[in-house]
Amino acid sequence: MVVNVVIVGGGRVGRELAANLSEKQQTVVIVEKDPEVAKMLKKKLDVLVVNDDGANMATLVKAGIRNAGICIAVTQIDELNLMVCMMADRAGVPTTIARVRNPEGQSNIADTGFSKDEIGVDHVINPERELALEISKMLHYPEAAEIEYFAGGRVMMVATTVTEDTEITGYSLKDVPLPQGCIIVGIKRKDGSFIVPSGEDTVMVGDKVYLIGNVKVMRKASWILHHRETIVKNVVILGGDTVGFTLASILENNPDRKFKIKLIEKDENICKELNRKLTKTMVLHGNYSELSYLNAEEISEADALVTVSGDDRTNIVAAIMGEKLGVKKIVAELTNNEYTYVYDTVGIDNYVNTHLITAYKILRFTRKGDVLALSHLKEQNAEVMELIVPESCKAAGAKVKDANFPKGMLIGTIVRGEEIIVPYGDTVLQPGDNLIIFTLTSISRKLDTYFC
Amino acid sequence: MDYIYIGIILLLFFAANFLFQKIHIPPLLAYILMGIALSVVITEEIYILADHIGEIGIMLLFFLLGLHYPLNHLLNISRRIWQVGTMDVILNFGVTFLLAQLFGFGLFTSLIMGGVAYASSSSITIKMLEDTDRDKTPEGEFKVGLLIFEDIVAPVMVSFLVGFSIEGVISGEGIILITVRVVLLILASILIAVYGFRRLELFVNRYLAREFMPLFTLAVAFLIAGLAVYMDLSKLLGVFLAGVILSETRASDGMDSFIEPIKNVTLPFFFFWFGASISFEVGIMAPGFLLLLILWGLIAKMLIGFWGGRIYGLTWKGSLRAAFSLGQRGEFSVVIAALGDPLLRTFCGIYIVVTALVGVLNFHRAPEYAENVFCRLKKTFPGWFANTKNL
Repeated sequence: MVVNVVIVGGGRVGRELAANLSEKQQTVVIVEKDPEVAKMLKKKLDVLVVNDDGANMATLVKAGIRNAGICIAVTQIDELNLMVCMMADRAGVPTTIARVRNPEGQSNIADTGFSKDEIGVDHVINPERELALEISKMLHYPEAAEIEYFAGGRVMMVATTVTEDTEITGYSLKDVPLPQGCIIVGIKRKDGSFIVPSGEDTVMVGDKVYLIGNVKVMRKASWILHHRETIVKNVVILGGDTVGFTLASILENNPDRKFKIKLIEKDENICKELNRKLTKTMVLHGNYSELSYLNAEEISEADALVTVSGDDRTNIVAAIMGEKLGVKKIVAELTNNEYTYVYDTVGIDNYVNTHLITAYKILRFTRKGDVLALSHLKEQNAEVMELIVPESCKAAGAKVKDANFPKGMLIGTIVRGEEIIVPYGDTVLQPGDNLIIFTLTSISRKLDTYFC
Repeated sequence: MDYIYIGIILLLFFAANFLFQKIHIPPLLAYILMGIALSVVITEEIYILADHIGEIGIMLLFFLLGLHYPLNHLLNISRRIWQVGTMDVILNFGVTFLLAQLFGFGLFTSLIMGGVAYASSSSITIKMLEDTDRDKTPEGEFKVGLLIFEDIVAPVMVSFLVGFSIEGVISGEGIILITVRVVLLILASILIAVYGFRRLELFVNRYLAREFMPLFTLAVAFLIAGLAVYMDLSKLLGVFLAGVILSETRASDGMDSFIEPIKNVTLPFFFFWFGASISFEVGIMAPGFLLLLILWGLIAKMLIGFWGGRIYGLTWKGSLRAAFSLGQRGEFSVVIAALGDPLLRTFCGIYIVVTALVGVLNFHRAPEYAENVFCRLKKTFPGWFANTKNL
C-alpha cells in the first residue's frame, strides 16, 4: 500500500528520508522554505517539492497533509518541528514524527503535563542522543565496524572485516566453524559488491561480513574472526557539545563496565557547564583544533577516541592523529557525506553519520506491520529489521523453505519466548515469533507482502 | 601606624616582582626571601600588619579558587582523590614520623616532624598554578583536589598535636569531634549551595555590576570562614567552601573580576609574613638528619604526585608534572612547627624554607623535567609504554 508522506525540512535528514521512501515507492512531498535548497531537491530527487514555509497550515494543506499517512518534521528548529506535528495531528495525520535536537526540549514535553497524544506528536527523535547511543555500542564491542542490538539486547548484529588471522576463510558457509547460535547473513566483497550469501558461498580475506546471533556466543565468534579481544576502558571524547555530553553521561551510567572518561572541549563556558552536570568524567579545557600537547598526551594513552567536535575537518585530523598515536578504537562523527572518501582513504572505517542515523530511526516508524526495529547498514544497500510474525500473515505456520521469501533476504534469528533460534529450511515460523531479518534494501519493501 | 612603612613595603613588592619576572623566577620567591631578609629589622607592628593583610590575601586566593569549583565538580574530584590523600598521609606524615623515631627522637618531636613534612603549601601551589597558567590543566585539578584533602586533614592533625603537646596524651574524643565538625561544615555547605544559592542565581546575576555586590560576596566568604574557625577548622577550608557555594549562582567570572585586584594587593603580604615568621633563633640540630628529611620530603611528594596522579587518571607526563610540583611546604608546616621548642622550630624553619624554595623552582620547570624523565623512562622501560606512541 502506498502511503503519502509529508516531510517538512529539506536538509540532510529530510533528503535522506525522501530518497529512501521514494525508493520504496511511497508518495513523498517535501516542504522546504529555502528556494535554493528546494531547487536542488527538485533536481536531485524524484519527489514533489513545495517551496514554502512549513509552519503555515495553508502550505501543509498544499503539500497534501489532509491525505497524508505520515508527517515528518525535520527542520533545524525544534519548536517548528513540534508545531508542524501539532498542525498535522489536527489535520488528521495518523503518524507524526518530530526531530527534537535539544534534549531539554524533549523532556519539556513531559514537563508540560500534556501527553504526546495531546500535543500531537507520536514519535520524538533526538539525533544527538541516537548518535551517542550508537557510539556507545561501538565502544562496548570495539572489534565491530557496525553493531546493532535486537530483541531487547538478546540478539546482535555485528559487521567486521575479515583478516588473515581469521579461521573462517576457505570454507563454504555451511561448514564455517562458527559457534552455534550465530550466522553470517551478508558479505560485502572487496570489489564493493554485496551479497546475501547461501551455504555454498565462501568468505575471503578483506570481505566485510555481517553476523547475526545470540549475544552470548558473539564474543566467541568474534574471537574466531579476530583472534583478539579489545577491552575499552580509557575513553577520550573530543567535543563537549550535546553528543559528547550525552555519550559521557551514557558511559558514566553504564552498569556493566567502569569507563575512565576524559572529555576535551575548547569552549571554557561549555567546560564549566559540563563540570556542573557530569559526575565521573574528567573535563579538560583544550583547543583540539590546535592539536596542543595536552590533546596528544591524552589521546596517546586512550583505548578509544571519539571525535564529535561537530566539525568534519577537525574530526578527521583528530582521528588521523589518534590512528598515528596507536589508539585501538576510533569513532568519528561525520556530518557531511562528502568527507566519507577521506575516511576511506586514510583507513578509518568507524565513522558515524548523524543524519543517516536520524533518518533510519525515523524510517522505522514509516514501516507497516509490527516492525520493532529497523537498522540500515553503513553500506546503504542492506538493512536489518526486527518484526513480529502476525497471526494473519502468509508466513505464519509455514516452513522457512516453503514461505517463498524473495532472494536477497535471510532470517538471522528467531526469538521465541526465551529461545533464540538460528533457523534452517525446516524451521516452522509461528505467530508471535520475533524475527531478525537481514535484507537488501531493494527488496525490503516486498517483505510487507509476507508479514502484513 | 606609620603609613610610610606600608608604602615602602609595597614599593619593594613591586620592585621585587618586576625584577623576578624579568629574570623568569616566580615572584613569590622574592616575597619569601624579602620576609626572611627583613625579619630582623621589621617591627612587631609591621609583622602583625603583614600577618593581617596577608591572611586576607590568602583567604581571597582560596575563595577565588572555590568560585571555580562548582559543587558537582568538587564531588567528582573527591571521588577520585581520597585514595591519593590517604597515601599522602602515610608517606609524608607516617614515614617521616617513623624515620624520626628510628633516629632516636622523642615521640612528640617525631610527631611534629611528621606534621611539618605532611602538607604541601596550598598558597604557594595555588599561586604557582595561577602564575604558570596551569590552573586549568588536569594535573592542576589533581593538585587542588589533593590540597583540599590536606586542608581537611590538617586541622585534625593540628588538634591532635596541640592536645598532645598540652596534655601529653592523645585524645580520641577530640579527634572524633573535629572529624565530625569537618563533615558537618561540608554537609552544611552542600545544603546551603543546593537549597540556598542556586535559587539566588537570578538575584546575583541581576545585580552583579552594582556596588553592593562585592560587599555581599565578601560577607558570604568571611561568614563561612568565620564559622569554620568557630568550629576549630581551617579558615581556608571555610573560605574555599564559600567560593564553592557562590559558584552555584553561576556568576563566578563576575565575582572574580572584583575580588582579583584586592587579592593581588594583599597576597604578597602573606608570603612576606611567611618568610619573616620562620625562626632561626638557635643553631641547627642534627644537620645530617635534616638533610635526609628534606630529601625524603621532596621524594615522598614526587611519589605522591606521580603515583597518585596515575591513580587519579592523569597521563604519564601529567603525573610527572604533578610529581615535580608538590614539594613546597608552607603555612601549615609553620603552624605545626610553632608547637615545638626553639631548637625544633629552627630545625623545622630550615626544612620549610628549603622545601619551599626547591619546590617553587621545581614547579616552575616541571614541564621540562617531566618531558626529560618521560623520555628516559620510555627508553629504559619500553614495555610500560607499549600503548603510548608519539606523533
